[in-house]
Amino acid sequence: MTGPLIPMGIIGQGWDLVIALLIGMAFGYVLESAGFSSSRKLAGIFYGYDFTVLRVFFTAAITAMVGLLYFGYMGWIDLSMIYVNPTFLIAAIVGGLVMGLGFIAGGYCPGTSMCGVAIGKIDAMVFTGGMFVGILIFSEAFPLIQGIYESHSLGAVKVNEVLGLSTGTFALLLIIIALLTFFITRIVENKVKKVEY
Amino acid sequence: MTNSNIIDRSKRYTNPYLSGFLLGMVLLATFYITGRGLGASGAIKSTVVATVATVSESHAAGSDYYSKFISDDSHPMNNWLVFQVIGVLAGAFLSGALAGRLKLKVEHSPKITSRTRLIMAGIGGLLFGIGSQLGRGCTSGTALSGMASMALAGFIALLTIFGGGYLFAYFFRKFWI
Amino acid sequence: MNKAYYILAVFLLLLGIGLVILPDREHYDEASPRELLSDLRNPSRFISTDKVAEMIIDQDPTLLLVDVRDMYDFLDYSLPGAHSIPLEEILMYNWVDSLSYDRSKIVLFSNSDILADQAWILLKRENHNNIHIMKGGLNCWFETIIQPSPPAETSADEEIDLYQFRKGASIYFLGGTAAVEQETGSQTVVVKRKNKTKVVEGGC
Repeated sequence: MTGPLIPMGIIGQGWDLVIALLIGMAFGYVLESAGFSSSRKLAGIFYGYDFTVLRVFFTAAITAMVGLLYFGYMGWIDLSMIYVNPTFLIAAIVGGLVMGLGFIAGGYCPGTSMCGVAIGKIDAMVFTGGMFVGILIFSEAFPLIQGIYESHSLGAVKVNEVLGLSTGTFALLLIIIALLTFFITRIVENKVKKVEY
Repeated sequence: MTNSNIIDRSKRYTNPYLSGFLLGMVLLATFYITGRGLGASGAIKSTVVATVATVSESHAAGSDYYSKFISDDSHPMNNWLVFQVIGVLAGAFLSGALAGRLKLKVEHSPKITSRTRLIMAGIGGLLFGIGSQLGRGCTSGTALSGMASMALAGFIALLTIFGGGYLFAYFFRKFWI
Repeated sequence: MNKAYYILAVFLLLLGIGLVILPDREHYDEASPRELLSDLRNPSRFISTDKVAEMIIDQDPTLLLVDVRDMYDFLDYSLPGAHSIPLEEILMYNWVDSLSYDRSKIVLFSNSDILADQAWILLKRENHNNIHIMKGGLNCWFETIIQPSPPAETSADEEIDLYQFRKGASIYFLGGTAAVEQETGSQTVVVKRKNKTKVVEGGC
């Protein structure tokens, strides 16, 4: 069976939501068991006392990326049908920086705050409420922001196309970068004073 | 005593590389089944749209932004991501319950009060909400899934979210360490 | 523990190197058997000889005629403006993309339907669209366009119009001589009945 299954019509639309629920459960279980329900663990990446986020995040991205490329090579999945997020340069950069500020202030990101909510972290619940209000504000102020939101559209470009590399070369490069960061953060983590939380 | 405490704590969480590998497999399965990655902020957006549409339907339909996400035949809550996030809540609850981490509490640095922590969490959530809409997705939807599909947007999100975090980390240090 | 990490790192690196050195494997966009079947059952894959004649006479720029018989047959006789791409070579180079435009109507033909139909299926497998077959092939072309048989006196107006068109087309393709041939032709008695029902349907 060549994937992706739902866009190919192999799995019917009715199963959509059941699958969503199951995938969500796996996602939530992995995040929580990695410790992503703790804001102080998450914030550790910014102060050098705990690099769990970086390790989990980078490993996951590389696993999925390499997996997708091999799946595509074996013909198990049609890579042209995989969703590539469109790039709107200004909005992406400004939005990312605002999210960074939100991350360091609130200690969560949307997915991890859900994990926090699930195990009873009150700060995570407040964070989620804040996010609700934030999205409401954004939507109400949309006419003011629309210019930034839609400017500098590059379409659904891939990073290796921008850099002029083949997908394989880029994947290898990213693996090397990831291994180096794993190595360096290990040293940093040993040098930084432990924070008890 | 404190030493054994640390070891206990680190043992309770799964090894980060193993977690990363498992998360990668979940992401890969998601791509294989649905053709797109995971997400979280989209579900909250759907909730916002649904709430606004319930409170004032004309307002939602008239707004340029809400109307993007309201289609006539489907309720905005009836969205893939909403079910996925309900799953996240269930999965995280299960994991927390198995590891004995279920506890209603405010987690904060000993240097600040829980009140300060809650205010910061609210502000952080507010900013993350705005940023995720501007950036068309959050850490899971754009950065993680985008990286896996090699989207430029994913790498920009990764660099700016974590870069932004490091940029502002100095000013927020007393809230965390 | 440390050792395990090194092994994993090396394994990951090997996977990455594998991605670089593995040769690109071409995955052709093949139509699935299901799609093929539904296309196969769709009558619009056929195009009548009359329609082809009309398009040639109108010098329709979207028409791309492809003769899938072998080269000798092509040199012997073919439709005006047709390209010769024998069936053996139908997949050899990407002629579809180089010869056609977005809106091109590619019309395959051979002596009968058979070769053209085979070529059609092969091209469909490669997911090319807008490919048609001239119904009945060149045999039908001769019967309907070059030597049309006149309908019965009592035939419907449309049938007579069609005949008029065919006669005109015949003159167009053969030059003046055809008209003379048609008028002197005495075979009307023989063919008329035979073709009566078929002509209503517009060809072979």
